[in-house]
Amino acid sequence: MVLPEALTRLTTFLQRLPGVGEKSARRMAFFLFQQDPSFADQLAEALVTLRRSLHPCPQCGNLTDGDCCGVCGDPMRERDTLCVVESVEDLMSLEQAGIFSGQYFVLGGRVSPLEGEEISPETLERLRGRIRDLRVREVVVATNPRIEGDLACHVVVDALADVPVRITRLAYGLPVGGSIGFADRVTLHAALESRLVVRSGEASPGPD
Amino acid sequence: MYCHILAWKNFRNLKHGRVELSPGLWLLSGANGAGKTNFLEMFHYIGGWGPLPGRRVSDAPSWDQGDRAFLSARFMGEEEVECAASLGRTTALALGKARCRAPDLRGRIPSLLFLPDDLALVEGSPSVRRRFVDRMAALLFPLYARRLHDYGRGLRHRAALIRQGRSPAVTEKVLAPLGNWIWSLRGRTVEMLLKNLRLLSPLLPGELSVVLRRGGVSPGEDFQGSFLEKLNNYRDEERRMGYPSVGPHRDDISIEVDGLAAARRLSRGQRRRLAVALVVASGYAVQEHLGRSPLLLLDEVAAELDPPGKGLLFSSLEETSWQVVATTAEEGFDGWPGRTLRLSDGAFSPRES
Ligand SMILES: Nc1ncnc2c1ncn2[C@@H]1O[C@H](COP(=O)(O)OP(=O)(O)OP(=O)(O)O)[C@@H](O)[C@H]1O
Ligand SMILES: [Mg+2]
Ligand SMILES: [Zn+2]
Repeated sequence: MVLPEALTRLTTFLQRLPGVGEKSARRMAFFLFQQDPSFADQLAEALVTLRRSLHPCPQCGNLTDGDCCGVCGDPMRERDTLCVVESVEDLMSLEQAGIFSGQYFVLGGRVSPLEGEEISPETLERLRGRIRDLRVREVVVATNPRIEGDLACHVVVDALADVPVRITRLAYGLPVGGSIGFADRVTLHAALESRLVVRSGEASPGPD
Repeated sequence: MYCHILAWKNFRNLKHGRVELSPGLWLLSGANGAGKTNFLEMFHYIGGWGPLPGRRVSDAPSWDQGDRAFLSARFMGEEEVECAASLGRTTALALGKARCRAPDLRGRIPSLLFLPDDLALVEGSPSVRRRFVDRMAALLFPLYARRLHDYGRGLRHRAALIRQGRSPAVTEKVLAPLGNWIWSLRGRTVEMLLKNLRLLSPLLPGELSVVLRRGGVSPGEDFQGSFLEKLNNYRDEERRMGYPSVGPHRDDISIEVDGLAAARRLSRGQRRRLAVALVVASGYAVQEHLGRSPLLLLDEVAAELDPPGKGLLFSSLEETSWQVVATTAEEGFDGWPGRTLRLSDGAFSPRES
């Protein structure tokens, strides 16, 4: 059976969304059709507004509908630590966790020469400028723990070669609050390899 | 560990079925195309190794029905483990009732597979020996498969940069420590292999040495340093070949008997016996390191062995007391010290004798 044109067209668009296959795209399309017409109007309006009013924050690359984003505009946040992430999604995960109180910088892409993806010299220049302007003392590289993330990390480190700043990278770790007995083998192995020095070896003078 | 029950739905030409197995040796005999290799592949999936080399998960579901295949198994031995796999456009694995990742299965129910290609371990190309050592290392060291994959991708990223006429320097900074890490674990793996090989003297033709030859650097060199240096020095040569002439992807495992290259020194049949000894030795190394006995999957390995060679193979398998699932296109083997199943049209039956 040939499906009506309007349905096929919407399904084709929906299929381009991440994690959506042909079947679920069709399910969504039918769902939309079965709702009250106002639902489709509002959804369409929300989509258009999203694209029209949101843009990257000129300072950090986070999404905003104003001059600068909520993080950059927050006077309570620390300014001497800067966390470099690959994508806005990564920034949002860190923000939602509420664990980091410094500034961000979004690279806005991966380093993946195979797919022709790279981080532009302009982006790296903006990063340098941002570190200078904020007088950042530590850059935390929070790229993903895979080969492309390693490459991005080195690109950032190279770009900051002559910038006097401490550079750290997120560690591979055990799931906290669980127990070693529940960690998977790969994580355990990675955690063992990125172990921290607790004491370097010299004995301290014992209590007398 | 040993597989007690394996059940499947919609898997290749085997369709639906279930077998109950005891510890010990199993031989599956059947005509060409009966589904023997498919049967071994089910263990390969359930053990966390994915499809057999050169095959695709998308072919696991039977072509004429449905788009997923399901496997479930109970393993016993050092512990009782239930696991399952759902195969189709995506793969989902479970250990007990929880979803899990492939390396978790590999460590819990270690299995080692040997294909007819592996018979050429001694005289075949270095890639055959690397694949053999890599499988072992992936079982012994959980991060190994991940890092090896990263290394391969890093090489391809590097080649892409060179093709585009750009500097590959950044990829080298990532590749050098990665390559060094792989070298050190491959080295350890080969040492463990050699140590266990010495226990199998009846299958060995003489005094054996097995050594990892690191690709493009000489023994005793500072590996990480020379890796970086040579990547730089050999750019031109590399452009011609398409990949660097130094690094773990160029490794070989040199096998010598009484000081001579085994490929030169040994007859064809002797090389087969040595290949079989390597297989069994890798199982012993895994058992020693993980504290559980491996499941051995052997596809057509007895091919090309003379009767005494077969006898030696069978008795060394019997001595391991592991569960072994072997296949043959012959009717069966005289003197096989285990059970034999016949497979025809996707159905199993005990062999009438
Ligand atoms: N998804 C599938 N659905 C149906 N049949 C399949 C599927 N995938 C493979 N087959 C068929 O399964 C048959 C058995 O393949 P298998 O490799 O297991 O044979 P074999 O018994 O090992 O034979 P040989 O002795 O030649 O090695 C092949 O003829 C192949 O066409
Ligand atoms: Mg076969
Ligand atoms: Zn901002």
